[in-house]
Amino acid sequence: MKRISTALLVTVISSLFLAACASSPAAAPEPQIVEVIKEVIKEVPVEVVKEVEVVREVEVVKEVEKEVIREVVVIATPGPVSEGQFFMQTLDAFPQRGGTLRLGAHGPPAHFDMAASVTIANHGSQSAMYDTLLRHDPRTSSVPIVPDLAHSWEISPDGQTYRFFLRKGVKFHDGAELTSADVKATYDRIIFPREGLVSLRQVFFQAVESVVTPDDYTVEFVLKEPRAPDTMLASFASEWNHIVKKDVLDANDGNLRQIDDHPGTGPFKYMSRDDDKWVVEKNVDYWNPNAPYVDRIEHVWLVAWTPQNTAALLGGQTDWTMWLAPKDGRNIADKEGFNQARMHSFTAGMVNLNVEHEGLDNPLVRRAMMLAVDAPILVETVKDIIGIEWGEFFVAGTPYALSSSESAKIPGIRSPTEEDLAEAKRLMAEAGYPDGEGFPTLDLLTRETPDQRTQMPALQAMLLERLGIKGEIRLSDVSQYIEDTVDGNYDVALGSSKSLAGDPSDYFRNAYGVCGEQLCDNNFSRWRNDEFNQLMREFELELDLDKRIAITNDLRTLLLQEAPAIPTINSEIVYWGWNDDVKGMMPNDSDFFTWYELHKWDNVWLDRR
Amino acid sequence: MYTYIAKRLLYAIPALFGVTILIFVIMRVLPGDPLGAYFGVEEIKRLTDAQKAEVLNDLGLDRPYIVQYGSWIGDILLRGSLGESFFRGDPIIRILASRAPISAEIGILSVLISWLIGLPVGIISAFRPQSKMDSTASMFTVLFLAIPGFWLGMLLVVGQITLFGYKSPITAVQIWQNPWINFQIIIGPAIVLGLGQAAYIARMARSSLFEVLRDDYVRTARAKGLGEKLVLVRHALPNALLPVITLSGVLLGFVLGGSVAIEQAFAAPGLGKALVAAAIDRDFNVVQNITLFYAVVFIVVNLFVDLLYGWLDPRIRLS
Repeated sequence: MKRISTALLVTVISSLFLAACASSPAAAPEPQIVEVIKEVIKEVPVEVVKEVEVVREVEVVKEVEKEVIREVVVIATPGPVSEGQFFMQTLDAFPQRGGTLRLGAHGPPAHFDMAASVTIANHGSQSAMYDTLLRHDPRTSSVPIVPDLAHSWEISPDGQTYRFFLRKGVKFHDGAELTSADVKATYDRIIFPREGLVSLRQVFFQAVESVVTPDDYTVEFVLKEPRAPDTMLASFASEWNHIVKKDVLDANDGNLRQIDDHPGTGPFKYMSRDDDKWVVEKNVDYWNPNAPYVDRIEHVWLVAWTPQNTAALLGGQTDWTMWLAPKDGRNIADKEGFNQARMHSFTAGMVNLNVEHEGLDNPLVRRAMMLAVDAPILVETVKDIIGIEWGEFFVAGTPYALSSSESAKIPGIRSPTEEDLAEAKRLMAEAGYPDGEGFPTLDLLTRETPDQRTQMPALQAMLLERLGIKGEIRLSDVSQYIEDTVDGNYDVALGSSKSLAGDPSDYFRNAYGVCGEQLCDNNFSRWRNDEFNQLMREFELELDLDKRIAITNDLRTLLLQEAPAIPTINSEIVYWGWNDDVKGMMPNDSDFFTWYELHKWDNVWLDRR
Repeated sequence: MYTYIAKRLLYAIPALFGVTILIFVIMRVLPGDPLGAYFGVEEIKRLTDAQKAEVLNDLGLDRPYIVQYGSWIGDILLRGSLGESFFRGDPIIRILASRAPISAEIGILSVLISWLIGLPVGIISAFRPQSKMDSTASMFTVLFLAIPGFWLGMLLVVGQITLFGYKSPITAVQIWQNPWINFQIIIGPAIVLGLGQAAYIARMARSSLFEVLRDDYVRTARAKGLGEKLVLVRHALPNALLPVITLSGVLLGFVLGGSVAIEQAFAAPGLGKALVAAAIDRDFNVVQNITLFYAVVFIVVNLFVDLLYGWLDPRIRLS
């Protein structure tokens, strides 16, 4: 209350003070007129010529180099690196160094020219001495493609140029530095061999038009037409295409068949070779600072699938081996102190029906045979002789193949049901051969190998019992067999088609198509079908995976209708085994898909404490 | 004596000549294309005529057979060279040098084993005919005659691995390099071959000794009051052993042939294994020269046995 009274008092006093200070009002003066002149602007339009720049687009063609990088792959690794590059190393934390790794090797090779070889006898013993542009990572069962001599690579958007950037400072075993000229010389030898020189992997680079070297550390592969990148990269990553020295190729006119110790850039150097083994030693100047771990590798010659091979591993004479007999390969997983892995090669096997011969020239008959033959049983009969898996036309481990459960639903691929057999009989009757009456006796060409000698009688019995078709088995040694299959002197023959990367553009065309005007190498059915060849052409040029799968579905449908061959297997298994001393390998009991790769051994160490 | 040796060596010439022709022809008429071994049986389909021609020219296979044969024999006779491996270019003399000693050791050791086992068994059987000992010995001799050496070898290998986790070495180590490892290589094949031979030796020793023990001079020795041991060692055995020695010479020849399969079973790095590998490879040069080497050894061993026979029995005059 006191505060309010004080505030009112201050307000009243202030008002009185202000009133007292105010001036008193003066008398009002007479008003005066002041003239103010104000300019008002009136706009009058006047024509003025003014130049204005008008842009009109005229097409002028000018080539401008503009590249869009589609894919750059550089995989980092936790090991010592330079320039952020990938270097192979073991995944184990504390690897030991030193020791001698003893490998059971199929061999010895008949010659030493890898470009002219498709046998593991060469590849198994020579790969550790050389490098490739790219490689498969052997540490995991997915075996992804990783850098090797090329630290990175690019693929042009049109899929027609593959550019590889080489590591610098890579030395051959004789001290010379690797340059792009060596890579070009190697691939020229493979892709464009001079007349008379054998190149057995030329087929995988058929689309390559030229190999060019913009500089010492860049190499480009220019393709005539695009190819699926997966297939091309797998070809460049294949250990079979190892890089050799240009000087060596020049000095020998490209023929290395008798040259066993020409320098490579690989983790191991040539040491000695005799009738027992091929020995290589650690390359101390190897460009990868992590590798190799072992000092020496002995490739001990053993024969595939023999008891001696298994005995050598179990008895401690070898540390690792492949080509274990299937039964031994399966059993070794149960033995203490041993490990096992199953390498699936991209192989499609089939019963070929010669469509040029009487009876088999009728698609109804072929389809009937396809429905009646029990492929899973044919495979079962030889499961202890060779490692194979029943399957459809397309090789397993690729996006084009059906799973086993899917295949088991398809008449003509699956074990025949009652309905399938009834349909097969109906087709035979429709073709004019009820219960096989009047059908010519088939010539069943059989190669003198344990698997064919076992499978063919089973096939013979199936055809007779289910369709009334008679067949006579004709045993043939290998050279005669090849001659007969090339000339078409047979009605029915077992065969297979193999692939480097599992892409149908190689093995599928090879098995059922034409190459140029000729039947392809493995087209034992001698089947010529324009629709098939057109679809294959579309497939080869198509880069989109979904569209490629759609085309393979069409191809499968066509083959099921026309039945030039009866599919039996879509994977061949090679059993690996190794003892517990060997470390750095892929996990025990792995399944992996490659074409006999993974023989550099730079990720492997020995635990011999 | 020297005349006899010279005659025998002269007789050996046509035999060796026949062997060279036989093996040369067999290697060429047997099915199998050397190009298939070279590039892979499936892959030779891909080769053009020009490619095939170049390789055949490199290998010398485009020459007429008579020229190829003449070249092989000419190399041996004129240059003293066995030539080189058909494909890899390895000197064949090097293959023989590393493999032959091991096969020779296996052969010699197997003969020793056959004597060590076969002779006592034969002697006991001869001294105690129709006894339980004789019956048991007969049973085992028949058994080892019947069992294929290759199968027995496999059985031994499996047994070693199953029971001991052991496998004998599979790469060549000579006796002068490491006697212990070398012994491990040869002992398995030698035992298997030796057991097979021991059965023959035992049967031969039994029948021979059985006959000798009934001879007049043995009866005379006994009548003089000599002990059975002395009768055996001094009088009966030297005469009874003559056919056994002859048999051993023949068996040594069979050992050479048999060792091919046995070495395979043990993966022993002998000449037999090299021969099989070369045959699979269609390496004509290696097969021809190893076979020729076997023939020479067989002839020399038989000559040696004949000479030994004459030395042991002075009644035999080699001339």
